[in-house]
Amino acid sequence: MSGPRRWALPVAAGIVASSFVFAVSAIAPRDVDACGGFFSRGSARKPSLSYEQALILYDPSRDEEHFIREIAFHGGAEPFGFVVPTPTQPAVAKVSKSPFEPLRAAFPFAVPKPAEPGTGFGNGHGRLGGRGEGVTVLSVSKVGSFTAFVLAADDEKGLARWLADNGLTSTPDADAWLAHYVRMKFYYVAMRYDPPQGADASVQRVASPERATPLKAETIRISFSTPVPYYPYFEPRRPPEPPSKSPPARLLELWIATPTRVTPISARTVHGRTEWVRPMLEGSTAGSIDPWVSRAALLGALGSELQPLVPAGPLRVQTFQDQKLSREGYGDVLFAPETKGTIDPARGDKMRPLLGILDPALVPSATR
Amino acid sequence: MTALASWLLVPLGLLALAACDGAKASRSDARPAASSSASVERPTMPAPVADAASIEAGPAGPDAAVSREERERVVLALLAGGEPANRLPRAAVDPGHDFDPAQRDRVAPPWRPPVLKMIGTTVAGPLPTAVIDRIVRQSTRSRVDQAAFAS
Repeated sequence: MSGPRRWALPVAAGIVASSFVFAVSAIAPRDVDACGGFFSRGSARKPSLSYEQALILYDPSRDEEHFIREIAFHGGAEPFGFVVPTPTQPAVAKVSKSPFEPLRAAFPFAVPKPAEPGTGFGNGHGRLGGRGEGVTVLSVSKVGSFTAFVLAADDEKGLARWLADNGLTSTPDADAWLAHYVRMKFYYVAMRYDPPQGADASVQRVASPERATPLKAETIRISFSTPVPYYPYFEPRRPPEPPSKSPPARLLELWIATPTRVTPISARTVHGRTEWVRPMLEGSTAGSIDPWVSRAALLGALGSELQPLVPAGPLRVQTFQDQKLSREGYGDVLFAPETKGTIDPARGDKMRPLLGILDPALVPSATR
Repeated sequence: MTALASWLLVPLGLLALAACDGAKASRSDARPAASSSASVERPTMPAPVADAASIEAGPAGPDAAVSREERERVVLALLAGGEPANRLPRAAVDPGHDFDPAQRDRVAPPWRPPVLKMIGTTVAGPLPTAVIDRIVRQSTRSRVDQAAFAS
């Protein structure tokens, strides 16, 4: 997701990313990426478009997920946007202090032994469209350098039209990506970067944005209701890289805090055949030993801004890494408990809208 | 007695008819997905029971003769957790690649501030050398810091 890489309407990330996703995630232009990059005064690392960092705080007793993700972008004079899908109506907020460096210090990723090798489109600007055909603007808020539009859509073409009407151009691949979520009746967080006042766009166009503007990173939180922890992992198909250009390295680093340990599951479709895989490698964490200790460490790492979002009771904090260059063929990620549980019919009904994530045949083929 | 039995049989017969209609509705909804709508009443989710083999095999192909209920049952059994979800193939790297524990250093290298060395200061004027050194050091550090973050 560096340079011209796209943020699957994650943070991605989803965010999103993610991506807040972390996740999500999906209108990503040439100069934004679902991948996060830690950047702040005093940070030990520069931001990177190839580095996606996300934190999921999930409270099963309230079916509530807080998806926290860093977004790396070139903060120039060119407006751009990206979209993060969520299964239910989200609330969006800026996180003023990135939690990832202290989180990494408290819960570092350690490769389990033996190490097991595994095997946004669009940019532009525009005015708020209000209600378009098949699209409802549920809220508009300022989130850091971005304006966040929370959208609901029941018409694929209507959503694409809304984005176009608001200057958010897209591609056929991105439209197909959006259509998938419209059929699943998801919501969208459309984030539009607002260049600072007085920024001279003509200067930015002379040189590449990578050279003209420094990379910035901001952290956002997207909170929504879901019966299963969810990571917006699915990305629009990207244009193929030129043969002479090798794709850049990429890294997703995820922390997830839940009362019980979980396993990430994604549906991967290759040559028409779909199988379930674990798309991330889990590191060994202190949280697997004493959930009360890990809860205290998590509270200490997150600081006062995010502490109120931490679920009550003992917590497991797991770290995951994903180093795939491409997510083509992969759907979004749902997390199942590591220990077998039971799903009563009422809970099954709540989960039904998400089941298409793991079985594409359950996703309606068209809305109209 | 006969009258009582007939009073009991009438509601039972109505119940049977309703159940028959429900079964038809359920069957009509059995084919995959395509035309489902939120406005359509759906039957309550079946209990998520599926054997490990069906989970390990992954979801049935889009053209397979598998009912929607069966598909949902298998996915729910997967999401119930435990085995075999914990044994699913891992795909954290691309085929043919090994997991690189140092990947983070490659995609986001650690930022190390430049080291400044003051090598001898010659002053022509009344100000002490230490004052000149301090001003130059403070000014340079600030500019280097800004440049490093902006690059």
